[in-house]
Amino acid sequence: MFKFRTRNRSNLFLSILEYIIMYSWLILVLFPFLWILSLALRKTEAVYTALFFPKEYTFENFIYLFEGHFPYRNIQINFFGTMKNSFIVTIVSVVLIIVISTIAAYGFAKIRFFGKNIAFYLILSGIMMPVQVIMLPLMIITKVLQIQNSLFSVIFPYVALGIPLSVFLLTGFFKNIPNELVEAAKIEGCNDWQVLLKIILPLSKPALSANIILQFLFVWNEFALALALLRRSDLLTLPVEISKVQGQYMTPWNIVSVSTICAMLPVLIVYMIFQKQFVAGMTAGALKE
Amino acid sequence: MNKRTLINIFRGYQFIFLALGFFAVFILYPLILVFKNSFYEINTLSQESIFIYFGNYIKLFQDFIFLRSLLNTFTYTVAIIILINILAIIFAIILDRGKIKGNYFLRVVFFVPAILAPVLIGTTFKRIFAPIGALNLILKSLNLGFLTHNWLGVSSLAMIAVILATVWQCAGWNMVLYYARLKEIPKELYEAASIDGASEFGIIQHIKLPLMKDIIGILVVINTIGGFKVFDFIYIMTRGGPAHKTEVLTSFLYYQAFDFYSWGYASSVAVILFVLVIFFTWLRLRK
Repeated sequence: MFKFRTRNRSNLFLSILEYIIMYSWLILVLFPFLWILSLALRKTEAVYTALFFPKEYTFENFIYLFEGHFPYRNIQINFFGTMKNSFIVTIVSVVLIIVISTIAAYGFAKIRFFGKNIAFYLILSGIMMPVQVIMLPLMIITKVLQIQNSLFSVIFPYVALGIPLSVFLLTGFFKNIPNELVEAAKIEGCNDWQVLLKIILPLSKPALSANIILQFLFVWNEFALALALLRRSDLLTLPVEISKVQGQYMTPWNIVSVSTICAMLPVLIVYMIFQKQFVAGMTAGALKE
Repeated sequence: MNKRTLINIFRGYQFIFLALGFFAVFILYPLILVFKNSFYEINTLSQESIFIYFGNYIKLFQDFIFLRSLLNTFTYTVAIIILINILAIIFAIILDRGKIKGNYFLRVVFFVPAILAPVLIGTTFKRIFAPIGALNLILKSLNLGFLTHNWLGVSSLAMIAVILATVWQCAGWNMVLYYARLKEIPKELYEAASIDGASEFGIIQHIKLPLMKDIIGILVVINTIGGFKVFDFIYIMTRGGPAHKTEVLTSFLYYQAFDFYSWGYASSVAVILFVLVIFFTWLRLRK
């Protein structure tokens, strides 16, 4: 009887502890979002006054951001121009990464040829490459290739940096597709490219969607390389623009906050729609050994 | 080489040449170039370059700021590994026990920071740790005004602030991976153990943690490499300051290249960063 009661009590204690741990972290996770949201909804004069609830709220910052011009100190932010750049860079890079690595992964998974393993491990060595290591030579190379004044100066490096992990994941997936299917298609008269298009691709949707999300987040969020390579103010991507908006201490927080929130929105919206794929995609790289 | 091998080579390389090409031009060649440049003294302003053997490396290990940034990188990395993984394991175990309400909701929300750009998170946390930021406002409203600080401006506190921002971002991602592993453990194991009289903590200590060992290893290595690569948080929140107390390898490299225009010196930092990352990647693949 006594034993039964202690067990119950310790269980109660445990669940209370669990609630406290999880819900305090929930508050900690949500707090920064609420804080910058409340900053973004204030007039400049009210930015430094209260924690969450200033006397009045206003949506004017969002309107100014849409117009690209804040009356306060005449601050100009070309937010939608940079967002357009980010979209272009992300879409072009992800499409190139996926197309090139799908084709390569078929070669690595389904064809035997001379030098395959060396080529495979060579490409894989790029998986963990920090962008800072190759950043300075890339500035020279983009100049030599005459792309230093276009978005391709970041797109091409992103493609090269995205390919290794993508090839690795897709090759692993393609290897698990039975060779009998490939051979049966060959007997029907398909060549390698037709096998890839008609047999392999339709079976690879989960691997492709995980991969697309992984690469989308890498390119969309990348900052260090874009900061070094994009030197023209009309070519900046969102992370670089957000870092420039802040200056050192000059820009009022409501303006910084409103652009930060608007920069978060696209990813948050996509996450809400494709939650399961996001988790699958972002964890794929770590678990596939 | 006979005709059949040639056809076979063509058959293979028509698929991989694009990937190889991108790799060669934008990763392999830059890597070779950075190794070469690290033996030169290069001034980008005057366009001069002089071969100086290991001069840059010798200079590095006499450079107080470089040694400081090396030390800071290690401190940062060790701190985030410990904090992120302890939190993530605790969260994952609680979620896996499934005894509290809102399990799915918590998982979805905890993961959100992982998808956001470090630049945006750094920007937000800079406003939390600023002199009139959220943290100080909270402390004041709790009548703890004497605890308020200029968190990012005091050398002993700035690194802690950067570490906390990183932990905030990464804990949820690690949690999801630990949770996925725990879900794979058959529930019969727990039942058998509790029939044998094992307590909750006994089950965690003797069943869950040992079965998570391999994934803990993987994530520690991933976090280590992530720690070495940290740049965005530092650049946004502190720019390496105050007094280089948060300077890390990547930010040191960046300043040498773009503030002092010494590319050869910056290249030798890049080589050291590369060697560190490759070593830990090798540790991971060796398993």
